[in-house]
Amino acid sequence: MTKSTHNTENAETVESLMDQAEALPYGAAQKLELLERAVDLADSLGDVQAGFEARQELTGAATMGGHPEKTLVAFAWQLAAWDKYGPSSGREELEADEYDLLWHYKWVINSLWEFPNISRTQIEAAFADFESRLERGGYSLRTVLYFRWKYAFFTGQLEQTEAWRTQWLRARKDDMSDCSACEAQFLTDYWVGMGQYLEALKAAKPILSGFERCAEVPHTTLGSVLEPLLRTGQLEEAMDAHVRGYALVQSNPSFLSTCGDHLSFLALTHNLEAAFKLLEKHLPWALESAHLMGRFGFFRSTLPLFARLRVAGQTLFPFRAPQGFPLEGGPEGHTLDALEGWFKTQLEDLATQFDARNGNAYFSSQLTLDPDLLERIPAVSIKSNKFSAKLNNWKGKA
Amino acid sequence: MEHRFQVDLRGIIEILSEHLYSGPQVFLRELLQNAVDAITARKKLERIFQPQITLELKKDTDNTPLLIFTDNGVGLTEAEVHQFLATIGRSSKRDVGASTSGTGGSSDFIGQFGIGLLSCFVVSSDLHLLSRSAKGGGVVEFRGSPEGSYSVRNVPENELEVALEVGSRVILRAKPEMVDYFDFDLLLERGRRYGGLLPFPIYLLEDTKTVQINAEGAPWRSKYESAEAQKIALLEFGRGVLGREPFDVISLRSSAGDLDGVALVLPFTPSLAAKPRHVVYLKNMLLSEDAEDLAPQWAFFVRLVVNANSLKPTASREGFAEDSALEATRDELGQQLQAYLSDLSERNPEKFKQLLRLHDLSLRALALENDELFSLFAPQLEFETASGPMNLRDYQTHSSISQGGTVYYAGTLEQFRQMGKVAGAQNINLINGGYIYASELLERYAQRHPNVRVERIEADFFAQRFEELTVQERNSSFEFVRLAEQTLEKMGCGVELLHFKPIELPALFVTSAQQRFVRTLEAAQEVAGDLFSGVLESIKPSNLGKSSGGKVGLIYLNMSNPLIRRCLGLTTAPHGPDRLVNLSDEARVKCVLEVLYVQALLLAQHPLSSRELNTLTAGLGQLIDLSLKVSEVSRELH
Repeated sequence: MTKSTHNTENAETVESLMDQAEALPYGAAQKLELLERAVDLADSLGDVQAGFEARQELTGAATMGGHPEKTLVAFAWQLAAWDKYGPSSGREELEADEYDLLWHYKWVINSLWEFPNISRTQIEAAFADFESRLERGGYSLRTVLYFRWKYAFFTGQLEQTEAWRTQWLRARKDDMSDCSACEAQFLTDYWVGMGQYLEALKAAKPILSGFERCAEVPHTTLGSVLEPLLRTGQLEEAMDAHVRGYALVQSNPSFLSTCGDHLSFLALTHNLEAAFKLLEKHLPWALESAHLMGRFGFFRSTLPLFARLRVAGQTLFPFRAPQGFPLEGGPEGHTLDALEGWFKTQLEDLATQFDARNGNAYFSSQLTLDPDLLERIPAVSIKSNKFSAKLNNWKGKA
Repeated sequence: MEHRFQVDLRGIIEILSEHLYSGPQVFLRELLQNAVDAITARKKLERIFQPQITLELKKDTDNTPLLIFTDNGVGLTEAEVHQFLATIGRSSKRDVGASTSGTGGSSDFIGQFGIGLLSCFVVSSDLHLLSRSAKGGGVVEFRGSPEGSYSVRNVPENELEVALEVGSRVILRAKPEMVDYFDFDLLLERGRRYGGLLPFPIYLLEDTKTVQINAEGAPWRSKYESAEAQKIALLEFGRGVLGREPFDVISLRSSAGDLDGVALVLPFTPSLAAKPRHVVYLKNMLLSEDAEDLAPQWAFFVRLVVNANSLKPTASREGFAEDSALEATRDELGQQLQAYLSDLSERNPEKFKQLLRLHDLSLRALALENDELFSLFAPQLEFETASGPMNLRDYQTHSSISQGGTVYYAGTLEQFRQMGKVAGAQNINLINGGYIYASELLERYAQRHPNVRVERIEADFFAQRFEELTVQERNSSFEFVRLAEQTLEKMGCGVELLHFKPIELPALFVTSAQQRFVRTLEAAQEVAGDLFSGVLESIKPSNLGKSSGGKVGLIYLNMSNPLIRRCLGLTTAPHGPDRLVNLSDEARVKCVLEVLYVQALLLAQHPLSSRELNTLTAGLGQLIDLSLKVSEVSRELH
């Protein structure tokens, strides 16, 4: 055991904790824990500069590791410190880069609507603050338009999305804009959400051909294209995307929703045992996550699994519930009825919270499965990562 | 009226040299790629010819170093020179392949001819090329300047100083600041790296010296007398690549990607965040020495040196494009690395153990991905426990009686630190699940062994085992608990008085992850402006777990501890203000409680806030003051 990498005895310093954290990959709980200790230590020393720098790392690790709530807390402090001690405060007690700060602000903006308790008024106020900071910094407002478009889409204000998208397309691109891989990723999600499956596949093409990539791309994209591929009858291609994509996302909780895409895919293609395994593996993430939109997405992806089990006439749900799972099972496991009921209640509860905030019924409307999808999709046998040229072929077609 | 775009060639060269290529020396790689493509194209026309490349270093009449690079590939006609050399951005080789064989596509070729030649401008003041096409015709000469003009002419045979067979000859004139790159040893070394695997000879000449750059070929393809001899040769080769002898060398072959080569097992433990960088060849030409993402994610214990014949290069020609062929290749390589591991564990358990120690984290990540290997490693993996590092097999043996076979672990390092002592006193050997992959491995272990109970515990697990007070104790401690609650309320800390082991421990502080989160959230709210203070209020968890009463932490005071009992004694029969030290019993107990609280935080290795630090300073000051007064008073009395 490599004890030296997390020596518990030697005196810790902010720097040593940050060094240790840097050596760990995104998604590792330990990375966050080390950075939180660094923040605590800096604060207890009253060192604003070190506290700012440790939080700078923490917001990144929290965002890339599936803890947007921690990003919010750390960023709120950073923004306050920036305003009070930063270069434009006239006090020059804090040395920091405006570009970095605003880039992290993007993560914060991008996550606000994922918490149903954050009101629309608060979100609007944050948009206004972000916009004025971008303006003062001389940046293009394209970034704001981009998030306005995302916000409208993710909160079901679908009558507005096209208008925002058009404005975004026309605005000047600058180095505050998302990279083209990330933009293509959202465009893919957008078209899937709008039911434009061919458009979605077109948007994903540069990513899937390996031309564009980024920290979370193609990781999420390979999940996003599963439904469009299934719906357009490209079953083998979908299986390839599943095999490639799941390997990339399975060990980082920030990909909870994408894991849901894979779960739903497995159930739809009649791979129920594999779907069970996936559910067992990622349910603890969903239960622990403060990212309620991610939880909603993951829970929602159990719908095809329950539907398929019903058709198969199964009454028991033979899965190993994670520790702390609120629903007690019998000696033989959970009954299908009880478990399906539990998930449905959770989903309805989440949908109610989101809809109340959003002022529409967008989330509730997602609680029923498209029966056509269930009926049309045949069994596709699971591939254990074997070479297949299929994906190359469909790239030509799409 | 139609116009043509004007292109600033100098600007483009600058962009290429600064952004697309990894350094000036890549001109040699580009020339070799073009030559290999030309040879591939000629092979499609005439099956039998002896391919050959020569590099000759010379001095011009003005003493400027020259590099004359000659291949006997397919060559270029005058039309092709105009079409490919002078048209930047066209991937000309695709067209050559299609036109010469009618079937070959772009995948047969490595380079992008025109772009490759442009890289020569990085080191050479002009571009001079002579070529004779295999399709017939005489020698064509191309002269290009970095300003963007070029000339093409047919050269009469009698004008040629050195005869030119079918093929191309590129003559580079060193720019004054690039003279260092026209060096025999450097070209030999780079040439070996770039073209060492090519299956036809590459010669390097200067004056009377002639060396075949690639005489040795790929070491993993050579024939050896014995397996032992092969091993020694491959280890030696690995030393050349790593600068140190590798721990081991694994031969690789993958039908996906048509790949062969070796995996060098690193003789040191790499950083988890460092991406392994592999040496990759495409069709035996070096593509990159820093290719990432070729091996499976978990395989950060190896560096690969491989050649692939059917993977697609990226636009910069310095790695492979992320597509399904690469994915399949990665998968096949993964299977071979796994086969090596399971084979090693049977064949040489001692060496396998060494490997486990050296590449602990890599193998943990792998064990999580592969059930078969999980069974192989899991019992041997060590975990940090309250009584030292221990593997799971030993852990179970040791704890089978005291813990009834249950495996207990703390989910985070912080919880492990908080609970370790108390757990020990309860005869529970706690495992630190906060170390990377530890929790995941333990949970997987439970899944694979349904008869083994694996339980993740939090501090309230012990609280449930703590002994409640008797009715009498409860009554007599009422005042003490009230006082403790009052004292610690301003710290946001709740109080419980119970009996627990070890009795030497007066107080135990516990906080859940969520309570801790609220603690930091509230601290941020204090400094944040209205906007974010409000946003944070919205995401504040409303339910902080059972019996927390909205507190951010809980302190267990130990009724079995003598110090606590004495404090309690002071509160059951309180005196008024002590006439000797002028401090009431109540004030003294408060002071002790504050110090105990901070001490409990420290014991839990909990970072102190400035307020807690102040409490400690004030409390200690008061206690010191008190003890001094007591001794002064007792001296007066004597």
